[in-house]
Amino acid sequence: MDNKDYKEYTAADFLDDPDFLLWCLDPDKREDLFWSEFPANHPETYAEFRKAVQTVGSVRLNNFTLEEGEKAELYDGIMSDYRTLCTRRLLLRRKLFALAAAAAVAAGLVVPALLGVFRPTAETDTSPARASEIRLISGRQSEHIASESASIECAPSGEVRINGRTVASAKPARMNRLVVPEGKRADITLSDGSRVWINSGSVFTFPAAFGEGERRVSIEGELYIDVTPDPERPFIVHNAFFDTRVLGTSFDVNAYADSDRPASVVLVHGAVEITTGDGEQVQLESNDMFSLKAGNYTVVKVDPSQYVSWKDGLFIFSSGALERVIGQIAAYYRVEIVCDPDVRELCCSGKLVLFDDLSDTLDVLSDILPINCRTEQRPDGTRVVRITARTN
Amino acid sequence: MKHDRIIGRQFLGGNDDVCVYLYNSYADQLYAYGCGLGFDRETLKDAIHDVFLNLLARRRELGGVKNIRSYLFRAFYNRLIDFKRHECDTTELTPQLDLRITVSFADSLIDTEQAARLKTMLEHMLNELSPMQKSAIYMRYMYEMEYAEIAEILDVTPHAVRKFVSKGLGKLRSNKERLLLLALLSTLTA
Repeated sequence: MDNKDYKEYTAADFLDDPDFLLWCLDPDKREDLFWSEFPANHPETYAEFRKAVQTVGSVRLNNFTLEEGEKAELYDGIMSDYRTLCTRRLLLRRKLFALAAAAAVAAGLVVPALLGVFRPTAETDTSPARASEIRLISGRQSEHIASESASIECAPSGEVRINGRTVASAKPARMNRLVVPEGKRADITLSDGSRVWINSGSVFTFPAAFGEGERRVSIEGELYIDVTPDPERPFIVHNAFFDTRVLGTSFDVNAYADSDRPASVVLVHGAVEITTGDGEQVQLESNDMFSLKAGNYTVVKVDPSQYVSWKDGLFIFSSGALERVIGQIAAYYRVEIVCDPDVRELCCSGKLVLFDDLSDTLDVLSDILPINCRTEQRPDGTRVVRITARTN
Repeated sequence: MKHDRIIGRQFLGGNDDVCVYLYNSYADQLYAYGCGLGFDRETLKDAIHDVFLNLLARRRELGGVKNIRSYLFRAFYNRLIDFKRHECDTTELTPQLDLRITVSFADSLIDTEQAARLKTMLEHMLNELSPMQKSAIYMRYMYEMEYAEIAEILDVTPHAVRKFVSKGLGKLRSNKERLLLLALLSTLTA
């Protein structure tokens, strides 16, 4: 196989190569140095090689599943049989123990349940999610939007409508600022038809209507954008760390100024070019995630749905560690969350609805995972959530 | 799979909620494994029921269990063997269960013709292996199980599992000329 000419190899050719397939199936990947070192030795076919690796990566063996309803029914059956079994055992035991012992067990169960009910209400009032409203600032005018989320439309004429109500007819070129506080979301249809979703804790700057040349907006925080293609007017999303230039595409920009996390772009489809502060240019393909931290960037393949699902008010996870899920929740609600080492690696899959109140979201999380979430107030007034293994 | 060990410890220590977690994590894996072993849906559901009920009922006696997933897989396999025995009405031998591998794709964007070709090729490749070789490669590839974990399920030593994997792949390597022919054939008949 070493004599083969790989220069003209396409992804399909790789997939027809049993040697290549075997290498992909080999769990340890070290048997065959030829393929492990292939990308380094054949940079000219790297794109096709990577495509083939991805295709084989999506191969599933015996991927049979029970239907959701069927699975739940089966579980109920197990639990009901188990309860029957327990009752039988309990009846046996009752004959041996005094009644007082049973009463003590019952009391022990009631107290934590009451504590559980009273705890969440206490923290609702101090939640920063309720502290301020979404604001649209245009020149000296400032519109407050009381609802949990805002839907804003900009007509090409410069007319701005919030939740269907016309609020301003500004000069088209004037820049507007949309401030979205913690725990809230907004979406905007720009004058060219591009759709933008703004995540919580973000500031988005945009003109009421775009002019002839470049379409330019900027973000501090996180946005997801679906850009209307227009080859004449390139679209540029600016942030403090880099510029993202596009022709027509959907992607997510994450650039919180005060965050420890790297600033990033996740490209859902299309093509974008990023220019970093140092003038370096990076081109992304679909499913690429670009991250920039301390002047160094990386590009990796990701499942974009996990990064952009916040725009629909939920997070989607596929077997992610709890630690990562918590990281995203912490960023979304802008609170500090400390995770016990015991539970960090718990595996989470599925969708998590993001409620306006952090405590509601945490309640759901602790319903589905064997964890306890406790919110504490620090002496300096900041909140910290502690997550520990449930041990009851 | 460190978190599974932690979960296992919590569960065996008496935490009922963990059962939901174990069930959600592994019921589908057990089901998929059982399908490969050639059992029908209802039989598999019965076996899953029995395994989890037994786990709940007997968990205080299971202190020696190191890895809860391999315990579940092994118990499930044994339960299926019981069913098989009952069905065949034989008691003298432990029936051997072969594992059939069916290939599918998680990514629906793959070109259908290419997918069909790849499916034929991989299924032919894998189904030529011995049941042990297939099982080891399947568990390693699909569930990223450690060799020690697979060893417990297949009731052999970790060293033997390593050998199954490398011998299996070696066998496929020596057969590759035939596989190439197969790929060509599948294009012609497609």
